[in-house]
Amino acid sequence: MNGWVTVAIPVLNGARYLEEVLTALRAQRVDREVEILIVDSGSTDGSVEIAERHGATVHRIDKKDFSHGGTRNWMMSLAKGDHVAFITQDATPASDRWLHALLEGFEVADDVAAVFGPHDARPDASHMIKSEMERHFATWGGGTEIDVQRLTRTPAELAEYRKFPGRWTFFSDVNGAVARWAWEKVPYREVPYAEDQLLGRELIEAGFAKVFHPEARVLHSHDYPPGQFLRRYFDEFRSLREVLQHKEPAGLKHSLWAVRGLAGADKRWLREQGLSGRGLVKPLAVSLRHHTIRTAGAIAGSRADRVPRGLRRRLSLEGRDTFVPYDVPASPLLDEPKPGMRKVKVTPDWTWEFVRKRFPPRPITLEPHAGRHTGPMTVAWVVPNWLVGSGGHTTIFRLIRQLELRGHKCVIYVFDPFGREKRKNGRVLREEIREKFIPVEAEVFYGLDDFDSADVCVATNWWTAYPVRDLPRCLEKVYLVQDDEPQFYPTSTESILVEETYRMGYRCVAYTPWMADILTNKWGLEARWFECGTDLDTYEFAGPEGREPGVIAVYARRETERRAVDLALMGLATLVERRPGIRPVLFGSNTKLSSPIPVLDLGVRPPAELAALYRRASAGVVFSLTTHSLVAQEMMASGLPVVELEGENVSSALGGSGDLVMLAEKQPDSIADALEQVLDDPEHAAAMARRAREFVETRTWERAGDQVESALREFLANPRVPAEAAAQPA
Amino acid sequence: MSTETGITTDWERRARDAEAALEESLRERNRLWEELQALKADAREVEAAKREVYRVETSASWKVTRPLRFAKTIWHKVKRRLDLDS
Repeated sequence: MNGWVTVAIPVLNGARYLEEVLTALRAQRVDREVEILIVDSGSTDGSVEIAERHGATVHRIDKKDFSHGGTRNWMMSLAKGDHVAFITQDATPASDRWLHALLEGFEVADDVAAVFGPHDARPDASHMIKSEMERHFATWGGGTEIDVQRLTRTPAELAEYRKFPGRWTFFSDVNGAVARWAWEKVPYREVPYAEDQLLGRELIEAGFAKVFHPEARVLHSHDYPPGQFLRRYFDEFRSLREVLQHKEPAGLKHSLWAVRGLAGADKRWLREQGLSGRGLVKPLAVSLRHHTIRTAGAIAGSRADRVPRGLRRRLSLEGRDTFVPYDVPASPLLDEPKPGMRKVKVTPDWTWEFVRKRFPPRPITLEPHAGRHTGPMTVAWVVPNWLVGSGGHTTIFRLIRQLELRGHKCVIYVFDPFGREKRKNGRVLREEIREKFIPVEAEVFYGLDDFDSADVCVATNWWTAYPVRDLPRCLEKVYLVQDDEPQFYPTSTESILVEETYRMGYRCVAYTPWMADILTNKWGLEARWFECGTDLDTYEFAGPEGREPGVIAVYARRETERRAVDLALMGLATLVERRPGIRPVLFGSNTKLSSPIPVLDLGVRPPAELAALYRRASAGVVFSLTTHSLVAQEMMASGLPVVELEGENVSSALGGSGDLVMLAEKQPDSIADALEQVLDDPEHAAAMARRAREFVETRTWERAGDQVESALREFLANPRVPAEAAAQPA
Repeated sequence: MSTETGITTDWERRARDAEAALEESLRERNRLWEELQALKADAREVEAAKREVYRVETSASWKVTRPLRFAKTIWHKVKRRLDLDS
């Protein structure tokens, strides 16, 4: 910043208010040097002398060389200041802090390209003008608060933008300021009129911010007799058509409604001023006449191309009979497709819309609060659709039950963007959870339409993280991470989208310290962890006695690739070559798979039947490449010696010594070796199984519930958006 | 704790009371929240039932079998009349 601010005023015969305007400018209290820059286009009323008396830098041009856009560009290039405030010769700053307010607008954010302020009608203006100006500037911050306009280009915001573009694009160089850095990127268009509206639009569409500052007020209004008003509106709307292709809607019904609406707004304004009863009759009659004239002028002006030249001159206050459309670049966001092009729309129910709509990335939506240390919580769980037998869902529903037992209230939302769930009915889904998983109390909803609020909202897999991020009225958002999900996918759309969820800034509750370490060390996330419990009532311990030799229970959910079922089958085939009496019993999937050896495939079975299998088998095989498996713990609880693959995901949960499970390298031979060892050394296997049972006994669901509850409490006690933030201005 | 003015102020007790009151109001809020969820779930259930009724009543099979239902109603009325007369 160079310490200068420039106030630039184009002048032509402005003596009526110029003295007042320049006096107000010289009275400004601002911590920068103020340069007053005037470009006069041929005044004959002493305007130049007034300007020079006030120490303004005056440049003269021919009237024919003046254009609102071109001349302002020239003034920007002449100006000393890094910020240039534009006003007109009849706009008087309403206070000595006007310039300070404009400059303050630029400090709201680094990307603020322009700042504008409200116009107060002069005291002698008609009530229609006063009412209209108040209404117009109340669009931004209610007219009393600083308001930042910035187009984030989300689908919802783009739709709003197309409906009400002026809410974003409006800018007035009757009372506005432009940052030099922004002007260097987006200068004024060399158009004769509507240059400010065009600049506002181009700045916003270029991604810059614009600020309305309510204290940057000027006194400025035009009042004319009715006939002149008609002609002025004709000129104004002809210009809008020539430059911005704006066409005022026409039609008797539409116009009558428009006039009625505007007169109604005047009536409300007059009432606020204390008028009532008969006192309203005359001003309302004036209002009706004014708005009828305005509407007529606007309709005719924006269709000036169809008005005969002679009539055009007579209708114009400037006496101009031309209609010259200017070649202004079309707005890519607002304009209709060109002739010959088809308007294309996005299919709203496309599978991936739930992700696409959530870009560009934005911070997690949270309510500010002072921090909650005690008391019962409300927790909303957003879960993916499931298949009966899903281990991940078993864990989620057990955790929900644990929270319910501690006095917290829960609700479950099933988020199914891929439409895999056939039963789109919350009560039916709830019954299934209660019958096939855990008898939870929580209500269940299909979809998120019924989402209301929660102390904590929990995303439970990668695709639920997208909608949960934006759900309203939550004090905290938590990501329950049971698996290293990016590992589920090869390099693909999915792998990119999963990784994105780890950049959203969730606070995490991870299954196993290993997963928490990944979230913390690789992704820089705040993570707590829990360890799964096991249902010791269902999975009762059985010793080595009575187990059937050669029976190997194999978790074979082949559709879940991370379960490495084919690797398990390779190991079993190698084992069968060594000892033909092996009888693998597969379970966990209703999908039939091809196997290199004879197997008994039980499909998906209820826990009680699985527990019986675990009690009679001699060894168990269960792999998971991206986490530690709950199935392994259930086998361990049942006294079944387990073979797992080596890996940090397993060793962080069970230790790497092989004391609790037999660890195999990720090779068929090694898997066969590990199984042989279990089968050939029953004493060692039994001792390992006993240790495993003791280990599992310490991993109860109560403990898991405590771990998750304390993580949620800790997050709630340390709010990311403290309560005082709510009191700060936006 | 006694102050110079002789007013006894038990800050710990007051803090405990305040915490208990907060917890109680949270419980009440949570109960209402749960009730709201149940009402919403009921509303969804009613909506689903209405949709199902509509689906049945606008189905071709329902329309085709309308004469049978009509005949059944008439038969029951006649039978009741005959039973009464006898």
